Amino acid sequence: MDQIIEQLKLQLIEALNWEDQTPETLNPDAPLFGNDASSLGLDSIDALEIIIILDKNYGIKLENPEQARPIFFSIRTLAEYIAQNRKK
Amino acid sequence: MKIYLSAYSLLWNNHQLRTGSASPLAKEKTFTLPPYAPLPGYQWEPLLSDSLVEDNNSSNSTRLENLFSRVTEELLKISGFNASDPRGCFIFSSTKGNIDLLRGTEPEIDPRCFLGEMAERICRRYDAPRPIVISNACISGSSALIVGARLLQAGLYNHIFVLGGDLLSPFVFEGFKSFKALSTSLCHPFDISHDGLTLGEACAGILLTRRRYPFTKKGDAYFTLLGGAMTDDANHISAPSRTGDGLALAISQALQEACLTPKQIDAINAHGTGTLYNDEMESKAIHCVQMQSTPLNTLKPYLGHTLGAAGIAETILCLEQMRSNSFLGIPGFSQTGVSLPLNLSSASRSIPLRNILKLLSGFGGTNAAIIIHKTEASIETADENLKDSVKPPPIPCSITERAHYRLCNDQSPSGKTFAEFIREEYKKLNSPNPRFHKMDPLSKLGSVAAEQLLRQAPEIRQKYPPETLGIILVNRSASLDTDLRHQQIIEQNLPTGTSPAVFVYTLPNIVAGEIAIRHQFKGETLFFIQTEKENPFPRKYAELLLLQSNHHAILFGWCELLGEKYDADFYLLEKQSPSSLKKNL
Repeated sequence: MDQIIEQLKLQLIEALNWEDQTPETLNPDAPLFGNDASSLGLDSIDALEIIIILDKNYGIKLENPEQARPIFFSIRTLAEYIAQNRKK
Repeated sequence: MKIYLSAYSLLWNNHQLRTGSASPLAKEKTFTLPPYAPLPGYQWEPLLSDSLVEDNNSSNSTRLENLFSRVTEELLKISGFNASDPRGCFIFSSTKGNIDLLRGTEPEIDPRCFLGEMAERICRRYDAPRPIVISNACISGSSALIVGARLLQAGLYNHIFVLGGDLLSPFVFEGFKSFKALSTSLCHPFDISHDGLTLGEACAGILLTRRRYPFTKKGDAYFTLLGGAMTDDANHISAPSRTGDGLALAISQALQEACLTPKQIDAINAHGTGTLYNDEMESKAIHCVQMQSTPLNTLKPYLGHTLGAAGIAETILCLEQMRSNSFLGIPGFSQTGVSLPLNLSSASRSIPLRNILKLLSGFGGTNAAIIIHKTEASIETADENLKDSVKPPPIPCSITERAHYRLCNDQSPSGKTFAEFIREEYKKLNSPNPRFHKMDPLSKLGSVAAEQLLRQAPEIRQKYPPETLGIILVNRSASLDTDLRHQQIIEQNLPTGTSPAVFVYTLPNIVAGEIAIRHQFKGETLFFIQTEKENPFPRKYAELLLLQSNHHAILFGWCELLGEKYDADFYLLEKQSPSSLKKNL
């Protein structure tokens, strides 16, 4: 699991142009979306980019980011979903 | 405001042409249109037939230029105007222009891809004066009508040809696909089954005039633009506001300008793209202004979403509905799919249509509302005919340049790449913006320049309400820098498709949207394209907007970036008005 989390952090930093974050500064339990200070501040376009990460790297196909809300809560929930559903 | 819509011409999918002044189609008792039949699934093809886009005059003119020419020629023919008349002017509205010619692998961008150059090439064909070009995402067409009406109202021109066009291309198609915004079948706006939009292809033109001309024939109805307003949500660059307050504000301002109450509007022609977010936002805005019982439709199931042509093409079809007093239904509509009820129908309705409210919203948080009025010739007063309807408004106030800031590498090449340069400039600001790293280079440039500019006048945002603060930007290359990146990704043909985070920046007005979000500017946001920085028109328009509307301050500037060349030259313009004269503005 920790390995997936670390890998996912690097993939997120690259895909989202997260120049102000490093794997060390990203809290895997912080909410990914939202405007309050505790969240990582992602928005709907980032959600679409995460769908592409899941497809490209793990062979997971999600069509609707709305349905994927619980999976997209944090880096950890994403990693857990990847561990259970990955095709590659 | 009272500006005449004197002639029009529209070309769209399946090579249909509708054209006219105020009269030729009046014989139609009821107005009908076949629904648009898009290809099933995720495919695209050019919808306008080659016979329309062929041109014998010029071998290197493009598909879109030939469509624009065809529409221009129709309007010249109907009106009898000479294109070279200096009392007239052309306004072009397009989101992407000749984007079908962009190639990701070629070392040089095809010069025909520059929107300003494209418009000037068309005008040269007709010996017409230098055109005005607007690229303001999906509201471009309505923006062009509103800008045209304001210029006429100020007495700057006698007549204006407002033209809008966009092609369906893999560029646009792949982008909307990456947004998961495309419907799997013909779009079903406001219906429970709505699942996305259907793209269309159109080119359209309306001739705006200050007075009624004889070619609007006696004994028939004629149409006037009574009000128009643009606002920005200042909320998100691609998602519409969750509350609909930006669109509601545009509606209220347009009603105010038209001197009408919501009850006097007979019908609403909504944007109605068929995406869940758009339809939901519009329903909230319409409730917010208490117009939920007004009959409402959308033309997207007939035309598809025609992007930069939408405002003009849909306005033309509004005129035809008004003339026959038949308000089109929404094909396939069965059950409301938005959370607040609206007055919707699948069938065409017979309604006396004197005033129609036309809405559009788009990326960058933009909203536009315009109001079209029909006058039956029988109730026309004698002295109204041929009388100049507008006079230049008095100018009881002055405009001051409150601040100026420039970031460019024209004079002093620094040896740094733009990416390095802008990162340093951003760090110097010492003001974290969580959006900064996601932005494309053009938006980064504009955001840093705007932040520095507004620091020179921090009181502006305390002094004035957000809806009186506008943004008007201009450049030459539109968003070609990022367009090239999107095109390169398309050409890689990846199984996962293109990047939504890149595609969203393939509109130049997104930088204005970013600035609006950051600094909460909720007034008009507008993006002009021109071939030379020195052209004084956009500044003149910004000043006109301050004088003619309730705006108090405008962030105005040149915001150009292509590759390693950049220049952001921003001004903050403020209206100084004696308070006693305020209510006259």
